[in-house]
Amino acid sequence: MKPRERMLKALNHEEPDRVPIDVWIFSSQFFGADIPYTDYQPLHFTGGRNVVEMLKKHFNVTENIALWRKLGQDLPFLALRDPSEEFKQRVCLRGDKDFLEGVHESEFGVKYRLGATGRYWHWVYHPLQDKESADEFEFLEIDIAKDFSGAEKLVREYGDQYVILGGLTNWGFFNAGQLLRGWTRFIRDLYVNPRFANRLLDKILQFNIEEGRGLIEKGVDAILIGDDIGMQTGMYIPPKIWRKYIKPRMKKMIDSFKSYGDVFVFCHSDGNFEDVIPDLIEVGVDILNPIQPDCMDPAKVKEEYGDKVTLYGSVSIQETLPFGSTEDVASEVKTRIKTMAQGGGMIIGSSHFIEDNVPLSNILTLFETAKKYGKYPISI
Amino acid sequence: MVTCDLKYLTDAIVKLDVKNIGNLVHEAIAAGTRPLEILKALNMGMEEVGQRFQKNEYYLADLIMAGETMNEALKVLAPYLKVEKGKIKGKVVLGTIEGDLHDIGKNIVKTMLSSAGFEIYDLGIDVPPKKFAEKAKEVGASVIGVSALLSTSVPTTAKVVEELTKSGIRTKVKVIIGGGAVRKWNIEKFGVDDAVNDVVEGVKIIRSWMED
Repeated sequence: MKPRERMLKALNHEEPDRVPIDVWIFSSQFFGADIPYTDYQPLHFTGGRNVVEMLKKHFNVTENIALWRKLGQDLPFLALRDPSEEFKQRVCLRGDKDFLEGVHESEFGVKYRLGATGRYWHWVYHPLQDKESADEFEFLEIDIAKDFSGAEKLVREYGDQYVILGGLTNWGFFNAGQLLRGWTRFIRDLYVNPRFANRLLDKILQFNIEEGRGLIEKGVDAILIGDDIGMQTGMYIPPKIWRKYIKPRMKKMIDSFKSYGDVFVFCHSDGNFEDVIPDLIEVGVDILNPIQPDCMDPAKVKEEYGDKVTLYGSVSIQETLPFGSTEDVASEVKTRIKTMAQGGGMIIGSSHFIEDNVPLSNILTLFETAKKYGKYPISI
Repeated sequence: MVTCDLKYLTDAIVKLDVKNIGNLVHEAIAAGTRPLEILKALNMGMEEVGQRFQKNEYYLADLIMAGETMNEALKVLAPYLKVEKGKIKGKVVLGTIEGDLHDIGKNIVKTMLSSAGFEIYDLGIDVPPKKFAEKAKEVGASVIGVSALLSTSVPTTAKVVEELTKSGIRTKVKVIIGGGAVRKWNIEKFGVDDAVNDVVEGVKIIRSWMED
């Protein structure tokens, strides 16, 4: 079965030949920030780059696509809007060295600095941080005819083999608000400055709808909304605030996406966001990711919501993959398949990006165990 | 005990009334209330917020807003506290470990401890292990709080302990690590004194050490 067919069956809650696999390995699919990178590969982090190099060496391949095929990745592409010409000149083409050494600016004017180890960055400037009105920020204009050549190319080259995921470059709503306004300031707006919060979120909504429309018109199969609303033990903001500001806008956005084409909507949030899973399903989310087992019980989520939403991820990136043995990894993968794969609606993978503290043997065990025990009908 | 007539200040913190807290503190001062009494009432609010967070009644954003509310109150109160300064309960060095840039938890710990009368030396984010030891030695701190949210950065906390040992002050300084990926087994593995993934629990532990 082709990865595309396998993935579509799983997303339609049918049982394919085996559970689809997708492990987040940096520079493969996701870039992890508000920067379109379609053709601009220098912008990698150290940790993820090391993992990719280690795997390529192990399989003796040089191209990413060859690596994904060797591993058996079923969802290896993320289509994004092309970076604007102005942005390419200003940021992307500076290359690796500058990026690793200096403060950089995203296409939306958010500035960030990489940490000492090169693994993560810290935002140091937000365009609305000292502004009185959200109208002092304008998103760039999107030209659907011109701005999605990378997405179009991915769909053309790989769309018959793989489900192509399209991603919003500005993240979802909560994170976009934080990036544009600043972490604490945006929280403060949500509590005591509703005029600012509403105006900003409306702008984000319009931009996201337009960007999603471009991706859908170019033929992507699913849209990724990345919005980290969960932390280790629960949601970051009270659910009532999420329901007041974000839920109605998510509904408008998802309704628009689904009116533009037959697409799945994929919602990513780190951490525990159990409080709003029913709301996410209600507004039309089809896929939840990454179901971090250190934060939520994946079996319980499957039991309660597994017939309505596909669960994607679920193998511990906080414990098992970096610190466990290969036996621990195999055992966890089998447990996830046993408790989550029945009836389709499951994509197995790491519960976030693989970093270079994960041993090669554990990465390989994750794939091998998923391929061996993920065959339908499940018989663990 | 906080007298009943200052309960409205405690309540203002609990209700996260960031807009009005400054005026309320002004009024209390104008009415002749002792600044330390005002501080005590505000702190009781922070304690209540912490308890509600631990009971899952409050969310992290509520804690952040409580910190914001406290900061607004302290902006008004600080000049008066200088006149009537309470005894410093102890010195704490805080920072996010090298390779990690998360600072929300650290900042909440800072607000809660400083409002409770501790002197805080915040080294910021992405802090090399050596700097923690150097600062603790320089200021005579008895606790170091290391924030580490990532599984890739938590092991670096062991180096803070090594640096303290090298500096000859390990026995004088307790080390606590806190963050999402932190686990109790880190205590033995990395040689720290405690490990938590709940900010309020972390503050409680530090206070219990300092107030012993």
